[in-house]
Amino acid sequence: MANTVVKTILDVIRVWAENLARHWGIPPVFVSILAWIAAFVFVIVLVLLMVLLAVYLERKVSGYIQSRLGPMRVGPIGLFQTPMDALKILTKEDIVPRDADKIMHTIGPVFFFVVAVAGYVVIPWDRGAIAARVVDLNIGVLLVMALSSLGLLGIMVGGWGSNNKWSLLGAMRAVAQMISYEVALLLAIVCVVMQAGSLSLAAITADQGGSLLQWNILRWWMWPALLLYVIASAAESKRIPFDIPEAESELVSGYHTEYSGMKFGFFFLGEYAHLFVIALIGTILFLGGWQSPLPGSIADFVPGFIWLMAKALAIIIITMWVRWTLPRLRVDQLMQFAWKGLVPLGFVAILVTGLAVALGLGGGGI
Amino acid sequence: MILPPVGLLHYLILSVCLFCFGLLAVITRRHAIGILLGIELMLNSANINLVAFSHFLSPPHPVLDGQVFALMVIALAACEAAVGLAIILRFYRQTTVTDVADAKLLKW
Amino acid sequence: MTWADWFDQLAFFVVAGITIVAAAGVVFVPRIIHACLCLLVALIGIAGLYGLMAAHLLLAIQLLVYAGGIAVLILFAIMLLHRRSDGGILGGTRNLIIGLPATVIVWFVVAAAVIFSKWHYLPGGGTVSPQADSNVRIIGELLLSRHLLAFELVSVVMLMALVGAIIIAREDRSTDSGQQVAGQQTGESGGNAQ
Repeated sequence: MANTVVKTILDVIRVWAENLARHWGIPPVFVSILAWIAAFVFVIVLVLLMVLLAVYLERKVSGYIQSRLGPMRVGPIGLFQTPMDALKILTKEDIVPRDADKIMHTIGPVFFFVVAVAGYVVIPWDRGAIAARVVDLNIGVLLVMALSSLGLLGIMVGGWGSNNKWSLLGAMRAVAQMISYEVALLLAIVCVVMQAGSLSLAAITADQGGSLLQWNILRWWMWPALLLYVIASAAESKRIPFDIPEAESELVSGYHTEYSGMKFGFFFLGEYAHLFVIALIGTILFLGGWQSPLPGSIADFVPGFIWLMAKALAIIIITMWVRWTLPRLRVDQLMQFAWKGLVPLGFVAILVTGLAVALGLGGGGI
Repeated sequence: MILPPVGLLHYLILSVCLFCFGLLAVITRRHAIGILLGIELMLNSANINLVAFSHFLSPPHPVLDGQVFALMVIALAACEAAVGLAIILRFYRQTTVTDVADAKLLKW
Repeated sequence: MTWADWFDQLAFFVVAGITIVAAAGVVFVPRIIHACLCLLVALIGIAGLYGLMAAHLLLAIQLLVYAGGIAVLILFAIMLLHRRSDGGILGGTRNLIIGLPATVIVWFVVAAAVIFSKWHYLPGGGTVSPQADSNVRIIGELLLSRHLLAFELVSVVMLMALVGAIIIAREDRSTDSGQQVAGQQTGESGGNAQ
């Protein structure tokens, strides 16, 4: 219901804008360029808001777990603490080490942030609401994974460019960890793609429509893939128990040791943007994306966008809970776990999913 | 000025340029990894050719053999990079040399 | 010439320009790590070219395997070597004297061959087919039917390359592992000297 209401409003706005463009004689190419710019602005604003929210939540959740209150002073229940910190970071001095490679030191964080935000263009926010529909046609999931592996290059460039042993070690750890866990993550995604029969995120969401039981999390043959995805995506977002790239008791703070001011801000923003995109992808792959849990009931009155956000936030809160509960792994344990534990599990997951799809349990797979 | 629409020739000329830069890198770079970079560039120019032929010379219904070949080339390039880097690392560890000009133990 | 054509041309020339400049950087930039970053930019530009040719699957694979895999691998190897490179092309002047004319000749020969060949354009080539959506499915079917043998052979080659790379790069535990570790540690603490 509400889905259709939102869609109708969007359609009205679109038709109005198109008529206006025709009236002013603007060629359609520029209209589509303007649409791209609008989508870009929407994504950037959304990412920044979500980062603010996530940082606030992180502080509150950690406070709750450690039996304290968290930020309370600035604004009601500390709500304005994070925006104030953002302002503070903007005014800080940008320090570049004397022997650092100036160009690489600058490119690293900017590249990291840009790539992390670029992943949002293929997220289906609601029925038919994707920023880059052309790209999502057939490669949505693959593109998100590709961009997430590109983010690694920002870390490497920044870590090497800082000319600091902690930075370099942190960057190398990050590379080793993320390449290893990316394999596991891709194996988990292959299962979902086999189930849905498409690489498009919109099609994967549509495959889980109809009822709550159609969600991949409630299909028993997807459970190995789900386990794999949960572990590998936690490692991919570099959070405890997988935060050895910036383990502060060993490496000061890893690859961003030598960063301050806005460059550090880019790393920070990029990291939370990446965390959020991983949560969104997890929602789309396993929790039905923008679908409401009980279609045909009163839950339909909540727009799909809200459902997507709520599910993603739930995932983020769970990762925070994990972060403040578990200890950190050692480097060799981490690598062994990836290659000797998760990758074989990935093959098992593909086998199970393939059997289920071949036996007709799955959706449009084969 | 009216330029001809972007067609096969544009992509082929571009790929020739990339190939020549790759060749030049292989010939002139002294660092062993620089040579590897040049080879990657040449492989990529071949890929552009394959995809361009598949795109511009195929009838309306898609014939994608060129893209399949490009996929194979990418897979083989990954193998080549892994083995090449392993050899370079091994060589560096034994001789602490990365310049190919200094690798002259077997030179007559 | 419509606006859409103009936009197509603009997109092609911008992406192609970035790619060529980056490729030139691979040759002429002195430090090897910067050359590797130039290669990365060229790879991303080539992914953009695939996008312009409606090869969306290849775009994603190029970013995932080339930019996110091979370029990362090469950067990682450079970090392990942690040695300053000699001036890229300046060190090899002799090679440049031979190499530059040879390359220019190659460029002219191949470019002439490309320009003066008669290409058999089929009707409809160069247009994006309406069912571009099913590219992935078609490529998958081709891989498992007409090109099955090549596909399987590639997988065997990849396995061999994997095992071979591990065996080649593995340290000799029997001989001088103690020295190796000590050397690495001192290398790391003084590493990245620029």
